[in-house]
Amino acid sequence: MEKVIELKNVDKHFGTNHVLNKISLTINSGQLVGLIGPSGAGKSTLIAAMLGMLRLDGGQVRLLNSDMPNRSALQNIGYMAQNDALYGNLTGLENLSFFGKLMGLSRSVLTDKIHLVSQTVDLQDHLDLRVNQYSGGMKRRLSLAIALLSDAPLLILDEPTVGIDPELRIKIWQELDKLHQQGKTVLITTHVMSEIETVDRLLMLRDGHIIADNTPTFLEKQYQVTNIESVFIKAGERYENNSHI
Amino acid sequence: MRIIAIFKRIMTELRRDKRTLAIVFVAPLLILTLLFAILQNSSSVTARLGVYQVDQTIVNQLKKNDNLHLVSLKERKSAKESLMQYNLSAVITQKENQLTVTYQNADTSLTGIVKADLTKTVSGEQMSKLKSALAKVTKRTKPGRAISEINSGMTINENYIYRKSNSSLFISIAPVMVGFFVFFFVFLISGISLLHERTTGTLNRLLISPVKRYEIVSAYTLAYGTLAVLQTVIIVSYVFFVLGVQNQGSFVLVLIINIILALVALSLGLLVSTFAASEFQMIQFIPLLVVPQIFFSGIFNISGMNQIWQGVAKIMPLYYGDDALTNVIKKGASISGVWLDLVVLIGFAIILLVLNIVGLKRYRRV
Ligand SMILES: Nc1ncnc2c1ncn2[C@@H]1O[C@H](COP(=O)(O)OP(=O)(O)OP(=O)(O)O)[C@@H](O)[C@H]1O
Ligand SMILES: [Mg+2]
Repeated sequence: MEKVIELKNVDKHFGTNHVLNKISLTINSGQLVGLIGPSGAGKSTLIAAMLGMLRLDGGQVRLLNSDMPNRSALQNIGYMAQNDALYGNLTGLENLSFFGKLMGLSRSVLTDKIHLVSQTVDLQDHLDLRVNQYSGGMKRRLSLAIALLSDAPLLILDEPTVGIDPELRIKIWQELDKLHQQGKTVLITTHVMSEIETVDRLLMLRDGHIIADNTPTFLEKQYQVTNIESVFIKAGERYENNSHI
Repeated sequence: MRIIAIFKRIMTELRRDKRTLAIVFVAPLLILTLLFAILQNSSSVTARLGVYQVDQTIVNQLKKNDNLHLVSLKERKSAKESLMQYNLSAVITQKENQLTVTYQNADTSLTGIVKADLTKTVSGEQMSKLKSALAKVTKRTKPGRAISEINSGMTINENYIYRKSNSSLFISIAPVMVGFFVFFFVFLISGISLLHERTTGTLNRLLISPVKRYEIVSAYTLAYGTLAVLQTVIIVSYVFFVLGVQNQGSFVLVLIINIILALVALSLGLLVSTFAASEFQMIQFIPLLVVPQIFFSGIFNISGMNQIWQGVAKIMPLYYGDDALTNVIKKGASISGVWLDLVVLIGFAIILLVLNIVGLKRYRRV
């Protein structure tokens, strides 16, 4: 198994807030990994660390066989930020083609890919609208389309399904499953526990530590519950109790 | 390739931001027109005007102007001698319908006073002629004669002792203003645009792609450089061709100086924007970084200041820009006369651009 993401003792403080406490973690190629944790736990910070966008207080990150930070490794990552970093004055199409060009896609490939990804996120009829006039969910979908554009072997998606209706959410997960079947590695964060039942591996971040790391079924058994939502709560409770002793 | 993509994106965004474009292109013209109107006439001082063999009607008309002190000259002398001997601002002589004015022109505001009063008087003279001619037309209905009388108006022929241009206070600060507007607007707009990119998170998003840091800075330079070229052409053309400031040097050289100055403003704006957390904070840098530069840029004469302040002037880009612009526009200097200024400005720009590229390391270290 090829290691796609490898963190060793990654450590990060924001002032007195110890957000990442010596985290070590390996993600192998082809895994579909869900990253969950309470709001403010540090999921986005962990992703920033993986991408080399964070000045670490300690530890190393290797991504796709390059030591991060590394500019050319970013070529092989489809990334979707938690905030919609889009150009409001440009249309959806212009945003897609701008980010596509940044990823180095040639014009001919780009046209096909834009057609494809805009259908995946159901935006094909709104591409000529300025992003300023998009709804919150439409912006999310456009951000996701941008992440899918470059056909990268590694996808890192920070809360891709926030503000997206159930119908489209199912469609997006079908697409993610398809990409997973094609052998791509996917790391996804979410607060929607029901949608994450199908991942290969669930990571739970809390207080700077990864307090749970296994398949969803294993974790459900371990905590003797029937869904991930309960795992989230039980694991949290147990962690709090242990840390108070 | 990526530079072009970013460049095109910035240009598209700019094109859609109609109000910013209006401000960039129209506001300087408005302010310059206002300045032009205010500074053309300075009415508090009086100018001494010598008259030699001029029609009494015209002399009487001229006497009505409070800001003129008329001196009748009796002897025939060269204009230069009369100007010296009687401490005059200008001398007028008449030969039939042709008035010849010689301006001493050391103090340009005095020249402006005489010029304004003279134009007023002569056109007033022509108006009264026109009226009487019209009266004659209605009385005698002999149009041919009347028209010839209208046509026989005064013409004014102007000479200058110092500098062969028509000068006013406006004209003396026009070069400074041209440089300032380009500097100010490019500084503000490029800075705010990068700031906006930072606060909306798109800069971070941009850097999570294989783009190189210098590609971002280059694209910004290219885009706002283009804007600066357009703005410069418009402002400079307006000042020269509409407001009538005479350019003694080359038009192209004026453009080149302004573009280099804009490059400094651009790189300074981009750099400063990294220290601002909001558009409002960006505005706060104006009194700190832009206003002092105006004071040292040639509106006031700094050669009398003490050494320390003269040193301060020399760290200000606008000081070099205006030195170059003034030399070209007013004294007709060629590139060989201003190359040192240009080298210093290019030096500023390069240092600031490099600092910008390094500064982006705050977001991504490679
Ligand atoms: N630039 C920063 N400066 C200071 N503190 C920060 C910074 N970025 C994040 N933090 C802090 O780090 C902690 C983790 O933030 P992070 O955004 O990683 O949380 P998250 O798990 O992604 O939360 P959410 O689920 O709400 O997105 C928070 O307490 C936040 O206040
Ligand atoms: Mg987050």
